[in-house]
Amino acid sequence: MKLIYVFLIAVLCLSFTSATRYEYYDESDDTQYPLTGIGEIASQTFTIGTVGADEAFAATNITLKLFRVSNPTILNVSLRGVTLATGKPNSTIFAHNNSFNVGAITEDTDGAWYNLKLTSVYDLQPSTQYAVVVSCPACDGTDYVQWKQDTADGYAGGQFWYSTNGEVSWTELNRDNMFEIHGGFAGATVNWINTTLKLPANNSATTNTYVNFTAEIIAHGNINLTNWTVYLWNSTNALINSTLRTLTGNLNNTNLYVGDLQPESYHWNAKACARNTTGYSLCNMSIYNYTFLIDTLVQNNNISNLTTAETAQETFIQNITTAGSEPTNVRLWYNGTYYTATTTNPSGDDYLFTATIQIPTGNGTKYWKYSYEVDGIKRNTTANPQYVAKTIFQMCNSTMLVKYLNLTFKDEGTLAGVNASITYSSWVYWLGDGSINKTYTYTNSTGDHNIPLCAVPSARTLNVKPYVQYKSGAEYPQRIWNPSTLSLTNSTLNQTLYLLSSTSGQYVTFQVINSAEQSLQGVLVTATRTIDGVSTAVASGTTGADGSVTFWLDPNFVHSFTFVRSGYTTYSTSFTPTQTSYTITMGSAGATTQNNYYRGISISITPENTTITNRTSYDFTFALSSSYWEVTEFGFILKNITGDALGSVSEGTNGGVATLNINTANYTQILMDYYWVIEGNYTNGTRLWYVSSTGLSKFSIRSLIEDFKNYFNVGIFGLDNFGLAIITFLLIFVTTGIMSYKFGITNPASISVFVFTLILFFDVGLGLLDNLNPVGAIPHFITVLTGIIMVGVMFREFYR
Amino acid sequence: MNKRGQTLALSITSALLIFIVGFLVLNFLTGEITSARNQLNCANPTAITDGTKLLCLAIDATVPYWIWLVLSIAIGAVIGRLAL
Repeated sequence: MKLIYVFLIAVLCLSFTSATRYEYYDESDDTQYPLTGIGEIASQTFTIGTVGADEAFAATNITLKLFRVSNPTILNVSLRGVTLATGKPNSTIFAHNNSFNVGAITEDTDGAWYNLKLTSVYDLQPSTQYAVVVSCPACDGTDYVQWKQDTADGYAGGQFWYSTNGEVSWTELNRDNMFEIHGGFAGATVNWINTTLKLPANNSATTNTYVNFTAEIIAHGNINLTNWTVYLWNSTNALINSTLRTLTGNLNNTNLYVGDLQPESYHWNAKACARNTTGYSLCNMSIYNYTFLIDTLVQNNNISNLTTAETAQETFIQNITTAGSEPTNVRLWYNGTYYTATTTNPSGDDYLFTATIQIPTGNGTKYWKYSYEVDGIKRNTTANPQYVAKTIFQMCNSTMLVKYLNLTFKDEGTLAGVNASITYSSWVYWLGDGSINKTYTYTNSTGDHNIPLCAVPSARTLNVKPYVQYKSGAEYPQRIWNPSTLSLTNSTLNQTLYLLSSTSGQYVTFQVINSAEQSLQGVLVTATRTIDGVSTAVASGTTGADGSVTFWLDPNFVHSFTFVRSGYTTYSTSFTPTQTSYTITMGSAGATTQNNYYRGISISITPENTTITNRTSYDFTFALSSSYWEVTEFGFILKNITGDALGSVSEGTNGGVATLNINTANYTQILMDYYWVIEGNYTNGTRLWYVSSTGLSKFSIRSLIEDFKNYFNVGIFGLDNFGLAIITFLLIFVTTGIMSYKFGITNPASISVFVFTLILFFDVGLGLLDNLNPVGAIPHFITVLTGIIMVGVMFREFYR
Repeated sequence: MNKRGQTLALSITSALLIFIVGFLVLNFLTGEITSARNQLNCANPTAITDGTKLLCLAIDATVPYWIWLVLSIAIGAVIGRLAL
């Protein structure tokens, strides 16, 4: 059916076109030549009269056999002269068409013939050689056009030539490409009709069942348009419309409405007819059909950047129109990974899908589309390409030339340049929000005064988190440069890193804790001092798991220190680092600069053990001494786990011991909120004790029994509960026997009373016979059973 | 008071002395037993060896043994004197 349809179209085209085919080669195409971009140019030379009529004619059209790969856009075609000496195409262009849209041509690798109307008419001479030159400057290795070719070199009037360097040089290949030259009589006015289909656009979709068909029809020569007909076929190639409308003049942008179309795929074409004053008439139909879809929903425009870079943040927007239903389960698919997306409804049945993602690492062309459901049916939008360029930050070299950062090393004391080695450096960098990032590590043992770092893409702001360990032999001990994230651009940031000689400094360790005296990891500590009149960061680092960081600092100068950690108050202070260690306490709330009210404060808290025993009285003490500040008040409050105060004590002296005796009762935790007041500023901390139940930790007779049972429960020397029962039985048996033997007790009733008493003691009293209860329904079954036997024996004795 | 009465009084006095001294010593014993139990981890039977369990039981039984011993000596002193 499809073949019949194609044949019908071909016949219609041939019947109604006015141009005559002259020279051509259209057989044995077994391969193709790709037109993949700027500089990639292909040409087929031909000689008038080789296959077609050897006569002068006016060339109006060139027909080529092509197919597309992915999404190429525009093809340039020109009719040129040939250099006689070499047979190569030359630069003389007789006629051309540089706007042939190849975005909708077939993707079938068999190719199809496409007619290109030349923008001007040129008379070609008989037995003369010319060239068809074709290029696709907007193509690339992904989106390009293939020109069908015969490898057998079957055309005698010319040859295939190609250039890969923009016609700087041409290479001949013993092959021939598929071409046709159409035209009219030379020197005569050529009459033809150019029919260009407009709307519905090819491969478009709509939800509207009332469709407006629009075409541009131009009559060339001495003819006037008379009518046009819209042919419409449905998805089964059945002709469902062939409406004819009259036209006048020689230029017409005309339209025609067709209604009540059902949702399915359609293709359409238009035939235009014209007539001259003598009654001669001709018709023309577009060389290929346009396809469109009437759907229950339509994919409209989308918005995204065609190019981006690794780690960048990109937003993808897709607009669709539904027939009333709201799309659900909308997700962005990007290069094989799904991301969450939001849906908005700006108007009517239009919906906008929006997703913002961080571009994963890996360069090349990636595709994105949206996956969604409408009325329970899963759908995908058309996949769109996006080219992802590499994001690189590294030492500048011959290929990395755009300098983003320039490190210079100087002596902190003399300001002289120093050749520093980088023992280790790590550079985490990204373009977006940082959740996707890359890391560059660099070491340099030779020592340089200056280290330039470059980046691509060169026109974007790059976020970089540096960590650099640098030193200069034994003369300048190692320092660390670990600032907060830098926003770098191609306006180079010049960063001076200072080193301090081994004779001028000392190692200073900062121990950072919170108010609960817990070490704080990840605190960014920066030390700055005034160098040459400018406040300059001389060291920075992040505290490790032990909450400490060590700097090599000059003890003769005042330094400013800043301690930054998320969730804690930024703490700033200034002093001369004459000591080798300092303890910094960070609290919560907003960033303020405050005095260090921990300075010179020494505290001691008892009980020292973190676990204390319940139902026990303890002296809780908080001892404080101050060698720097004058403490006006100190004390503490004891609380249980629910925050209820158990007691409090305060002292109004400059140091001393605050004591409170509290019984731990059955509390599970006891918290001490201790505090001291200096210059009206309240500084506090907490200490927590876990209260353990005494359980079996202390001696009691019960401990003996419980231990006995517990040990037999878990096993002791291979004995389990049955062993315990046997031991208990033996104990009862032997005791009864000894008592009977020793005191001559032979009366059954007396012995049964004695046995019952022992069993009552071991079972109910000590619980050693719990496991001899076979059913468990009657508590102390063995005691009850022995009691019944004892009563029976006593009755028996009584009635005797 | 005859000689038997004097002997009885002496034996009761001796028994009381033994009882008081025995229970005074018991007060020291309980502290040491508690310490020993904690150090041996007697309250955690799954974490100690069978030998340690046996030792724990022996330590646990020290006080009952001691009480039994003190009471036996004290009562024996009285009864023994009476039997004389």
